[in-house]
Amino acid sequence: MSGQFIKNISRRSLVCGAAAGMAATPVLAIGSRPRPHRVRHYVLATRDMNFVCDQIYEFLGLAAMPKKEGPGVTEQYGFYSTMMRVGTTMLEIVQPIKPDHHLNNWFEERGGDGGYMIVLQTYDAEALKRRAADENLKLTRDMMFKGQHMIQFDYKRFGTHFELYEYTPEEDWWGDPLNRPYPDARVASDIVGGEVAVENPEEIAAQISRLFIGRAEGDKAIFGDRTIKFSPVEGKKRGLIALDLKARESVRVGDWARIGGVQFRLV
Amino acid sequence: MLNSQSLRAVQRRSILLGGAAALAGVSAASAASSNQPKAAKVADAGKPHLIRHYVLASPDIDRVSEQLQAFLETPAGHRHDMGEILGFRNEMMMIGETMLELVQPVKPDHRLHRWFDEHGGEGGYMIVFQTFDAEAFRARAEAEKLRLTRDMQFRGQDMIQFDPKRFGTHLETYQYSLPNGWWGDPVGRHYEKSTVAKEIVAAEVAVENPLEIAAQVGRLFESPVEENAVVFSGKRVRFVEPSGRLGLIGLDLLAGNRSRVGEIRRICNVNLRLA
Repeated sequence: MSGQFIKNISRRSLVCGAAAGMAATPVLAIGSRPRPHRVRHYVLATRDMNFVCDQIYEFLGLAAMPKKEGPGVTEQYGFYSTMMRVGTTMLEIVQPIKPDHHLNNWFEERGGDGGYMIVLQTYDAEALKRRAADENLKLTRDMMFKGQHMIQFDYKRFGTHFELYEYTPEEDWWGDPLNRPYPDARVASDIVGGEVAVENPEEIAAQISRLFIGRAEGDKAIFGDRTIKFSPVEGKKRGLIALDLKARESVRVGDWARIGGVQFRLV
Repeated sequence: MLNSQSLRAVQRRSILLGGAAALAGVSAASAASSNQPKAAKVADAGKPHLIRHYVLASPDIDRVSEQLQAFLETPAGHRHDMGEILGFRNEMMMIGETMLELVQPVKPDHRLHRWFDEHGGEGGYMIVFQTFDAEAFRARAEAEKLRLTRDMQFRGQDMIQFDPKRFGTHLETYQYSLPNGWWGDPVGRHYEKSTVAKEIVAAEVAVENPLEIAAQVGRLFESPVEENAVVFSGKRVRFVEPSGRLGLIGLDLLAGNRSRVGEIRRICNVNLRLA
């Protein structure tokens, strides 16, 4: 993946990456100050979507969304997708259908299933692009997608795919978290953070914070009530390796499950 | 196995139905807690795996419980409703040193409903073991190229579960971190004991390739294999060719009265044999 991308595709993350926009608390503009970006959506990639989804449903006490008749929307793009909502954050599980789908290369490179992408909401895509240029970062996507501006950064730099959307309208997108009847998870109330393994955690945390208008604290980039922690690779797999979920029961704090190459941690 | 140390305050529970259990008071205990001395952990690591617990699943555990009470001549066990968060309710009974858990889904999305559909209704759902070195266990599972359907920490206990499509039934193992205790609380809580059955001494699992599966289970649990049976400290799991249902189809109970040896009662689609 490299270089600039496309224009006007009719739908969806070319890959899997679709984005997110949830019905979360709006982040209000304060005067002309740029608004901190908001983590909206995580994408996990697997070779066996149903196997992974079943484990997530069980661990989170989450009912599956009823499946619509016929092929899913993403199948024309070469992958299956299951969407679920945990509080105000979306979780998407994707599985490539065809052997030539680029996710298969990613599996080979990574060594199997894992966390694939973190999707944030930007409120000014052009300003974000200027900041990216100032940092000499190349974009792997810069495109309009159903009226929404999508920008993606090279995962080789940040350990995982970071994808940004400027949603129009601001609180809606194709996942339709406001209107679709996503069930609530019984075990966790939201996804409050993620962990990305990368070679230079503090440097990446600082750069991510500059780009997405977060607050850097050592190896963490903080966006409102969401925190992305960057940790050394050190024998672990590179990329998005963990999600932090707010436990509804205090007795479950500290519990975790490894599912699809990602550690789901109750905090 | 069950020693006299009491446990209290066991918080916990099987996710359930999964969840399983560990029996209670295993003396040396339940495995490595984080504050357990390193030497003790090392000593525990070599301990043989134990069968702690069987799980039967039914849409109506009240009925199953009544049948068990009549057969075993015991009162009801301890019931818990974990429907709000975990989506199921259960009843815990104890036969000798082995726990028997009955589970019933109460939420419509609970995975047991699908299991009932796939298995033709209620039946034997799971065998739960105790391991004393979960990380070594995971390494053996990876070497066997087995995928895990649970790989998690549940209230401080290290839980590993295998895909039932491989083994015919759910095999789940725990490394307990609470010293001598878990949610079933078999030591601190009073369980009425049956005089009809003194212990669960064996289980029978119907699976496509019993010899191969027995050999693999023996390697995973580092337990002796005798043809189609794997031995866990005197208790056995026999793998047999299916002649109907797949999965956990039978339990052998040590008869309290020798005159009843040979009696079989079918409850929850599981043959309970007095042996």
